[in-house]
Amino acid sequence: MITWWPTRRRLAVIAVGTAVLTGAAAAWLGGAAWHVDYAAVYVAVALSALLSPAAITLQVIAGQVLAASVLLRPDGPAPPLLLVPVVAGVVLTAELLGLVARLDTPLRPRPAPELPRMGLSALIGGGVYAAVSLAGGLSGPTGLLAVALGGGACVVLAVVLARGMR
Amino acid sequence: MADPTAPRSVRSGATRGQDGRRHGDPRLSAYLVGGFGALIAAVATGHHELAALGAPFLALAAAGLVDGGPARVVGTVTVRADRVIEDDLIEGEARVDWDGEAEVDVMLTGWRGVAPVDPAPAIGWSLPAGRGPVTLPFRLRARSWGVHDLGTLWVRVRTPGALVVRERKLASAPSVRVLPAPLRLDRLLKPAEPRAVAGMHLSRSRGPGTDFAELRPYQPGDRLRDLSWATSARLGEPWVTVHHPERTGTVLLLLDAFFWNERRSAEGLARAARAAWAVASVHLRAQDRVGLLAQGRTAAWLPPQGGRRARWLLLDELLSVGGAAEDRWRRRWRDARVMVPADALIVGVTSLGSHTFLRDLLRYRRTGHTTVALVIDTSDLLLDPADRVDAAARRIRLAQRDAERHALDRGGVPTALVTTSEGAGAAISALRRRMRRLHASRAAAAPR
Repeated sequence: MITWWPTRRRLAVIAVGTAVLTGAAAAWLGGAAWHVDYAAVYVAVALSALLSPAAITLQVIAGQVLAASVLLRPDGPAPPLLLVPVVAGVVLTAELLGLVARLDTPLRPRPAPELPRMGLSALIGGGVYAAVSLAGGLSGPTGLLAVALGGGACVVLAVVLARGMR
Repeated sequence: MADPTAPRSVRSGATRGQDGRRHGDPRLSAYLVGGFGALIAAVATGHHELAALGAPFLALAAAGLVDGGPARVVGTVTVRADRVIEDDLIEGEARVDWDGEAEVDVMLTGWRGVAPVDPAPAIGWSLPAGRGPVTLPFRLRARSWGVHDLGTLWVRVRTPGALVVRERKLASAPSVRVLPAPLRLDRLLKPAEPRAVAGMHLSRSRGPGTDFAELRPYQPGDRLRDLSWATSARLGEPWVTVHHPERTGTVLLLLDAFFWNERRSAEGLARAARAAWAVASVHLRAQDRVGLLAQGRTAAWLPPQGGRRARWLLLDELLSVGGAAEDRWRRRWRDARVMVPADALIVGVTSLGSHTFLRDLLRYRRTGHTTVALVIDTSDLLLDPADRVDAAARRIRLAQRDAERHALDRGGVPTALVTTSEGAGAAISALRRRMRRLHASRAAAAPR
């Protein structure tokens, strides 16, 4: 049985809206018609995740493919930092879809301060992406080392931030 | 002596990991697949940009896995009364405590025979992030009679923002005894052969008692206290007053406990049990000895006995039958041999759903027992016909019931229909009339 509490309906609308904005931003950055098609597929997958929580994995993968298609476009790569809002949007959509899935319960949900925590998750996602992208910009083995160190540091920072919010 | 109104509770001995189940949030698998997938793609294609796309998701997965939730969660469930009557409200509360800050979902599951009133439709609470303890009141409505478990208290705990949820069974809720709703009944059936114990039925035999039977001339051996001085003075010779002795009868209730695993069938059994309880109560008040034999998917046997103890034992057996009707996995088998007293009036209480029960009633009649049957009307429980086939099936079912009633009548077992509108009282009156007619016709047919 699927229970659509008012809170859950509102969150579902916000999740779909976030997915549409993310797709639109990626399509605008990509500039090609097939980027619009990719964005449409991404939004469709996000919609399907409203009904089946397992589709959140597909939504994340579709978001990564969408971002990668912009990042590695044939007419020359886009500046990686332009994609920070897209990555943050994919994370925020996944977080909202996760909460929508959690509220599929016969228990009446009580208002909880979830949205600030989701904002932090999106911030972590965008920040880690930006940091690792900048580190990857360095040439040669230094760049690889910087990616590894930067990635590790970001994981530690994310854990510290997440614990600080609890 | 324990206060019967005191709350009863069961405290859990839950410790970390006991009965606990961990499962991941749907986002956890998404972040892990997305993160590692992007890393693999980066290595495979040689594009380090793809590694940057995977890193955020791995960071979020690591942050979500870092804390597994509070170490200690304990809880209790209490109810204010453990004996209620059908349709009564049962008030209770769940008390849950845990270490640290956590988001906790509390649920009472697996209850039977009751319906949630508040909260509804499930007895559960989704608590925002916070610290324990919390006390959560709930109200249930006793839906059907019987001994019912109120289920198990479960919690689902997670640290705010964590991607791992832990489910744990905290405590078993107490059971509650739901007594049948009282039926108005003030008429007695006439037991077959009253016994020589003080009671309310008038015997045809004469002896010490308070009800006048006749006056007759004094015979040697008569007690002097029985002399009727006025009659003796008027007639000039000693006459004595003779009384009817007050005696009790034996009633054996034969309850049809054949039912299916569906709501309507259980309701049919509940109606039969209410009627049986009404008949038993009124006969026990009249000092009769009452026994119970339930036959069907569940069994019960209580030899006829009288008094307050018999009342409680009988109610206990009926409640067990009711509990079995609500719990499809609970089967009861009769482990004692049934000894039906020869003088017992056998009262079958049935909704005529079983041929076996019908055969049993006729068998008791053939072996010389006075046997009657209260047929519980369950026609209102039949589904409303959706088409002609349904309507025909309904007509066939009702015709089958009438045919079975006629079969009982032809076999010497008078029947009466207990309807929801008229109750058991009208059926008992009808049975008494039919028994009188039957006795009269038998007496007329007997060789002189």
